[in-house]
Amino acid sequence: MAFINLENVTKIYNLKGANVTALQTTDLTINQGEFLALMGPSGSGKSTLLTIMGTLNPPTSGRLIIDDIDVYQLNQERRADFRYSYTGFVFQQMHLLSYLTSIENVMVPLAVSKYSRKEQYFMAETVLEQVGLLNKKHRLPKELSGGEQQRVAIARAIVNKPAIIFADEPTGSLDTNTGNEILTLFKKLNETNNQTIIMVTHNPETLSYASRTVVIRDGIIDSDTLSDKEYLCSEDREV
Amino acid sequence: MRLYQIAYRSLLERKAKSIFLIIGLSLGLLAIITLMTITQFLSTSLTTSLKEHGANILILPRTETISLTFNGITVANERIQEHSYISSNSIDMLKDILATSDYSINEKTDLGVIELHLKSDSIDEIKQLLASIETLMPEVQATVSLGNLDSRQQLFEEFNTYTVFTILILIVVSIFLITATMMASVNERFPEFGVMRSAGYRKKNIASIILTETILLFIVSFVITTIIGLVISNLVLATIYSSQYKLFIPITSVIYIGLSGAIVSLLAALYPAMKAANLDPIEAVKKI
Repeated sequence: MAFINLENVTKIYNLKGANVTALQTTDLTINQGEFLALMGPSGSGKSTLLTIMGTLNPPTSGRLIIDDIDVYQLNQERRADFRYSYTGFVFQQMHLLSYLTSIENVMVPLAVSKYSRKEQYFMAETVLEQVGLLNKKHRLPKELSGGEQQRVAIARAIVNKPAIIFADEPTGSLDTNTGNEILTLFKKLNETNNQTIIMVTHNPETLSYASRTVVIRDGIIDSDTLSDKEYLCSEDREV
Repeated sequence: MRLYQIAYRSLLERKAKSIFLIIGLSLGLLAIITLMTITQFLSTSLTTSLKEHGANILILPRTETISLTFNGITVANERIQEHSYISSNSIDMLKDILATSDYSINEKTDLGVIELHLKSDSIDEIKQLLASIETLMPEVQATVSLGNLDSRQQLFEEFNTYTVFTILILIVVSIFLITATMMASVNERFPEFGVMRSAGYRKKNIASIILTETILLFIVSFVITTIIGLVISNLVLATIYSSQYKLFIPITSVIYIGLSGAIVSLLAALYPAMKAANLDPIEAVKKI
């Protein structure tokens, strides 16, 4: 059985009395270790799909099964515990806590854990090293560049060693070079830690990093392709 | 990193708001502590006077009086009809009634009166004792001379009522102050709570951050105010009661104010805490 299983999932929002279908009946399976890019025009339903898979947004119907757990059958607090052990989130706006240093920001998810302060500090240092920011661990977010802030946010997302990292346009507010650095970092995490990455993106560069691309249009999966790296790279060169 | 550290650091980040709330709470607490200290001092000084000086009670045989009127003209008013003496039985009975009290008795049976000097903790207790003497011993009547204590007691009661009302108003104002400040803080931190929820924080974890911040602010205000409040009220008391004045620290009042203040602060912060806890994480992270 696949690691993530979406079965007949739909999402209908009720906006001022009118029902708006954000996601039509969707089935999707994702294996552990995949790097999935979720693409599509604005309003296509890709962010809805991401938040449903991220256990933050209960679907109107259907089931989400992750690691054999029917996630939306859990109550809200159990689902929070589930997120703590299984998921990490990276947002377009990094949403770092402005009053905490890099390493403290990374430790935020651990504040509700049973780890001692020493263990927390060690775990935070380890991931900061992975994202290449150990030397700036005592800097406040305002003293870091956009790319560095996003790397701290990634470190924060992976400090729990989650099986799945959800990223919502993580390169959206960064310039191309910095964006590529961030994508390289995600790729590295994907390869070295075998972490599943599900990334909503507009950035076509992502295609050269992702192992699979799902395109959504009008709430329906329009295409689902496994990337052929060679092909994509050559296409990249042509562009 | 622990939740209380996040709370503490967040307060340091929002210095202006924190200081504003601390000043507001401190002023309220200062007024409460000063008023309560003075009230308690007045009450203690009343009790002390009563304990030290006691009350003089005069016990007389009950005498029947008659008034003589003729054609609407009072001929003789309240004339004592006869003079009687208090029996030794009655004196024994009186001693039985007073058995548990601290008293000294001066029997002037030849004059038909008993002088009683009674030490007590409260005026009410003395008045109750007089009433029970008259009920149990219908043949006597008892009068008490309290000197200026009676008027002091009345003044104290008026001051006490005023204190209670002022404190109630101050509590209501403080509740509004805390709720408004913490609500403003929650509103500007939506993304922060959204990140925490998506990182697996439970609702109660988020709520506890807000409640911890509130209680930290209260503790700081309380410590500052207790020190200043005690200094001020002691200065006031030293000025008014220069001769009787002794350093006065109402420990029970301070503990009482601390505990009830902490509870009131937490109740005031409950709504903002619930609001932060119940945020939809998706909406929260969208807000910039």
